[in-house]
Amino acid sequence: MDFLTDPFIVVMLALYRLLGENLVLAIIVFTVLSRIVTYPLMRQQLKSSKRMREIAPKLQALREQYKGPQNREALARAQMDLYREEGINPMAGCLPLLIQMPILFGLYGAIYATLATTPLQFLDIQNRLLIPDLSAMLPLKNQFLWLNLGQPDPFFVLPVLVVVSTWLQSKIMMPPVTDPKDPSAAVSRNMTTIMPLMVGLFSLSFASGLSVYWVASNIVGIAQYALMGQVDWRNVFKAPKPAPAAEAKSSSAPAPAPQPRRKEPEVATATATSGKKRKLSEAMQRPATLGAAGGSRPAPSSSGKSTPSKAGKARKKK
Amino acid sequence: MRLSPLNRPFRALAAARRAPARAATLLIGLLLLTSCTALVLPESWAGLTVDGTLQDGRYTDARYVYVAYRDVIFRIDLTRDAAGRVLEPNQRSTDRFVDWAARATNNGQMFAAPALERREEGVRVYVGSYNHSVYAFAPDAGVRNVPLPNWIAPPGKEKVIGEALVHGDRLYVGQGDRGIKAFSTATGALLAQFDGTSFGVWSAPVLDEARNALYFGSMDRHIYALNAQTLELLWRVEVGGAVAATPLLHEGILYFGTLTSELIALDAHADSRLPIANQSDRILRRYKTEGWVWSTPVLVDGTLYFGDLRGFVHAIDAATFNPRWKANDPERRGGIRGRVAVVDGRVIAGSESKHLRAYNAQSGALIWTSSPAEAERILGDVVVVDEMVITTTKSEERLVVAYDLLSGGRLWSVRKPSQDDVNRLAQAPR
Repeated sequence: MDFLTDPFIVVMLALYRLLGENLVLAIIVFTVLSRIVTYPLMRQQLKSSKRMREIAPKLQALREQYKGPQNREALARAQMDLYREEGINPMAGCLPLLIQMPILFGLYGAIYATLATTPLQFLDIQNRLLIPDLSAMLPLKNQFLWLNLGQPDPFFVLPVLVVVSTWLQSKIMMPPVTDPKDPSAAVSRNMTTIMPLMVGLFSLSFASGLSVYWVASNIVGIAQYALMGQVDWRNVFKAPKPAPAAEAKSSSAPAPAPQPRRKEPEVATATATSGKKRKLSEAMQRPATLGAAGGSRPAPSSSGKSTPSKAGKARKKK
Repeated sequence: MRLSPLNRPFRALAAARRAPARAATLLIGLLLLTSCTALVLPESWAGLTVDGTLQDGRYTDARYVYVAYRDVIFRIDLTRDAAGRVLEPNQRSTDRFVDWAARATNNGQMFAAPALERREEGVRVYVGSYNHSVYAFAPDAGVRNVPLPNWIAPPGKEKVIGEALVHGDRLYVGQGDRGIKAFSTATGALLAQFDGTSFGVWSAPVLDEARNALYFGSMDRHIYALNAQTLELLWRVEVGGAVAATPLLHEGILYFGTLTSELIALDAHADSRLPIANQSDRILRRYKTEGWVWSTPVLVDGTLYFGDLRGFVHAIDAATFNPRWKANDPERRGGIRGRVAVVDGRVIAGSESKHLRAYNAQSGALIWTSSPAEAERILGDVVVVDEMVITTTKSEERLVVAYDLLSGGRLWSVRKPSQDDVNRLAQAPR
């Protein structure tokens, strides 16, 4: 990991020197710079996320249609066709994230390394200075207001700020819920609560300089989201509402079909809730829904055949 | 009832794909979970002190070695094996007897080399702790496995990293955060303090009895001289880099290394015409090294020997600072943190590469490389007791290791005593 961290240590120390040996300012500027550098990636990731949310109802419909492990292959094919016709690369959301991760690791490691407060930490930093002249700045002045930045905050102010800012960021970044019964929505809601508490718990024992980084990173993240018009402030103080598309779809959904086209015993035993019925009806309406929500005619697949026919074939095989 | 539980992981994956921001949060959580190194853990190396008289680089009449590491301070009896049997001259044993062990209160972590004071009733051991306290122990009297209850040094704000200096009825202890304090050896009461450093003092001060002055280096890149009685500032010198090791005082000249890869000679006795805040005209010479210098130099026959953190051992003329030789181990990289031992024309240095190496003091030619310490790097000082080279490693299983002075072969090792050992030794007859 040192190859990731060491260049960041140099940047961090250079900033420290430039900013009048103010460590807090150096950490904040360092965080802001890294956020700016990774902004295009983040934007790309958000765009992709948005597009994925837009086609979420269609994907849901496909999933309902191709339920069961025996249909997994057909489902995957249908999904890929959908992505193709919508012009979406499903991996486009992950790639920017993967590129950001090493940067995050490096940034985090650099702040931790430069906050060295014990002899052993200090000893280890020697071999990591790519520019030996920077050693003249060590140790960094780690006193700021009541804080020793190499030690945890004794008054718990920073841990509280960490919790609040992490929670706020998670809340406003949480995508609209397309289906309240979707387990992933529940996971997302839980994470919004658990993550800030977990990070806050860690920050009780972390060097407070790292807490400064966390708070700065969260605030910049929120600001970037706001600049992109992605912030949904309604998410912050009340339970998230289902997305308009999902609402409209559920309200305009026709009455449950009397008989499913395929015999699915698990549906028959597990469709006690109205949600399940709605899903089933959506599945039955799939071709029409796809046409209406997509707003375009299904594009021919690369083999020259349309998605429904492919899916039909798959069904016939069974 | 859901009949397709296998579907759940796929759903979770799909959810993560739909919401990369959520996945990012999860990944950052994992990053935090796996980055426990960020916790502010006390970390250092074991401190070692020999109870004996140093003569020509060798302790000749030493029976005990005192070691402080983490929550335990203990004493090794060099004359007995682990079972307590007295060793005959030239009798070999792969271990040694731990004669005494004690713990700090409140899980205090002790890494500094213990400071010793010989008294009529036995030896008194002083050591600072990361929990801001300084402890006194009496291995030969009282309750053996806890600090002396009636010796209470008022705790400071920060951890104590450097070793203490005992002189007369005073105990001088550098503070990890800033400054230095003087305590009464009788009661532990605070007698005087100096808060004028802007960073910590991580090493022991040295006393200049002729001038009644106390000299020490600070991580704030200064060398300080204080009145030993009142701890008032006499003068200070900005040296350009943090000073982490104890300076060597010889005939009024201070020799010390810096973390800007220099060895510096400074005249402590000269009359300066500059203000006491920075008497830079006291600096006599500078010698550029390969890496940071964290070891106290050793002066033998006009030559200074010391190691640097790039793994080089240097021998330079003390009067001119002209290099005589320098050597390293090109095969095994590892910094030399601790003080080297110079005895019988050999310079022995312990390295982070887990080896000791002995060089010819005149030429720098390699004499031997020890068998490896196996588990962990060597960061402690190297001392020679009779024909044994003793040092400490980062391995709790082989915390103290001894090698043969002539061949470099390992003789014995001692592990860090456990809690049970500490309790057992408290009940043992003295």
